[in-house]
Amino acid sequence: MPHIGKRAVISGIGWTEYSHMSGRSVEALAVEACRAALEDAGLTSRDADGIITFGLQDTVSSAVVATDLAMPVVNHYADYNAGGNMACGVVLHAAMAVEAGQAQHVIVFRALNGATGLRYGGADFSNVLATTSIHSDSEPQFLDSCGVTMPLQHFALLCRRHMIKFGTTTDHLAAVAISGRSYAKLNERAMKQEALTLDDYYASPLIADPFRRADCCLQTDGACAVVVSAADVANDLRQRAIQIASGVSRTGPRARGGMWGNFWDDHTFSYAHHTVPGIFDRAGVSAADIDLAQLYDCFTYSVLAQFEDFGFCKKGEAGPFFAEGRAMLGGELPVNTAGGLLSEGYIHGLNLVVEAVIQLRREAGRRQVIGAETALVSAGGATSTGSALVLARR
Amino acid sequence: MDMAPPSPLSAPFWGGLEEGVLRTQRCEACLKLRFYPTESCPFCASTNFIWRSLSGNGHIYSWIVVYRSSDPAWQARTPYIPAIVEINEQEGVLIPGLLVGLEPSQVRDGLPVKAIFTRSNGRAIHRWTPTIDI
Repeated sequence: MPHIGKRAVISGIGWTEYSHMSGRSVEALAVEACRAALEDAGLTSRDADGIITFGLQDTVSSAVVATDLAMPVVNHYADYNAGGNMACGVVLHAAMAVEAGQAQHVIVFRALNGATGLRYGGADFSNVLATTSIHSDSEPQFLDSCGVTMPLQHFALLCRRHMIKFGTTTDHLAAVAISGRSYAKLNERAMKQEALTLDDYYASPLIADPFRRADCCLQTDGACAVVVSAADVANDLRQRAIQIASGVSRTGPRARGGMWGNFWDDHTFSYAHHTVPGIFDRAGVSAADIDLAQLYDCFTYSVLAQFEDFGFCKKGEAGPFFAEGRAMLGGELPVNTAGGLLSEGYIHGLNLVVEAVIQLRREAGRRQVIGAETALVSAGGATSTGSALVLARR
Repeated sequence: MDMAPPSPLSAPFWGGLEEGVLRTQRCEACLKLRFYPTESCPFCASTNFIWRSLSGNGHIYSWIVVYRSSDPAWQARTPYIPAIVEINEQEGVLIPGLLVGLEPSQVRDGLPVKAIFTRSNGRAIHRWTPTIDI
């Protein structure tokens, strides 16, 4: 089994305010988050020699940010035209760059004005998907033409299959939203900190049945960043280094289609099904060793599919798991401990990596998972493509 | 509610709708049907294919009921029901389309449907409609 070794770590993390209106450029947000991550690590921009980002026509390039940071040299850079399915993949890329000797300190950032700029729930985003090779030319021809023009509609179609096959209910979806919010109340960064009850959930308007507004992630202005460093130099830095124990970007056959994949064999399974056992084997752990999980929650249902596919329970059992509160603080497996994309904010999944590092450094305050040693972070929702990381405090 | 133009690859599908028939590609190597139109067979990678006419019959595989859309033209049509239909000819071959002729609360998994043909934006387009009394 190929091994993404033990030599790359996350040495620093940084973020901006997550808000409905930053009043600032995406570039300014990116630079602030990157500076914060470097400072957290005890580095300056003169130490960083790699930079990676991803986005969908809504970000700034790595070269712009490297210039703003006055990085003396960029030994490795990459710019992905990609969605949230790469939010862990970019960290994996940075780790591989470090392990291959391409660079020593690689900044990974995501910055967007997702509330005041390009809105992923908006009509302009449909056009981006249709015209920038995120989708094939088939989605606009055959899905847009029957009114499937928004990401939530794709995911609602996937959710319906899970409901049909496993009896998943809207109460289960609500439980995911409520569970995430229970942590957001303890997170000063979270955009949604007010309580969420089952009544609140059902008072939320139907957007595309079975999804209500409360099933959908936030639209956020903000940025976050992590610094991936070679372990042998990270030992001398300011923070406890968090090991990148394994990473994968892996999927199964016929994964064509960014969201609703018309050729996918079984729409109740996500890419995550295809990351196992590699994601755990390479880290030298099993699913039972995971102390907390940050699962990409673009929509409530995405969490259920991934939770099952990573093997934390059998297919069809994730809904009851959440409904019984077993993903909440003190439960068997805490999930989305900052509130996730549904309640903390939507930095396109990279904020889930940040939260995993905070937990493993045991700096999460009132939402701290006691004794957290090993975390899974995922990126990709309930679709056919995605990526994941196992991070470890060692 | 702009409709994306047919591509050279998909033109026979849209041309079929003008004639009131659903068509998919069939691989000439492994004989499997496929949809959407693709350059090569996703099962065996053969680039040889023909276009085959379908019965137009299938059943509901997944559906949603849209109440709010960010697209003003679609918002004006809410509520509407995009459906994914598995065709009778081959398991796993899925053709999206609007489901019409019933109320949102009447949609069920596996509901038998057939293609009907109408026009939108000056082009032929298919819809799905139940073949049984609801």
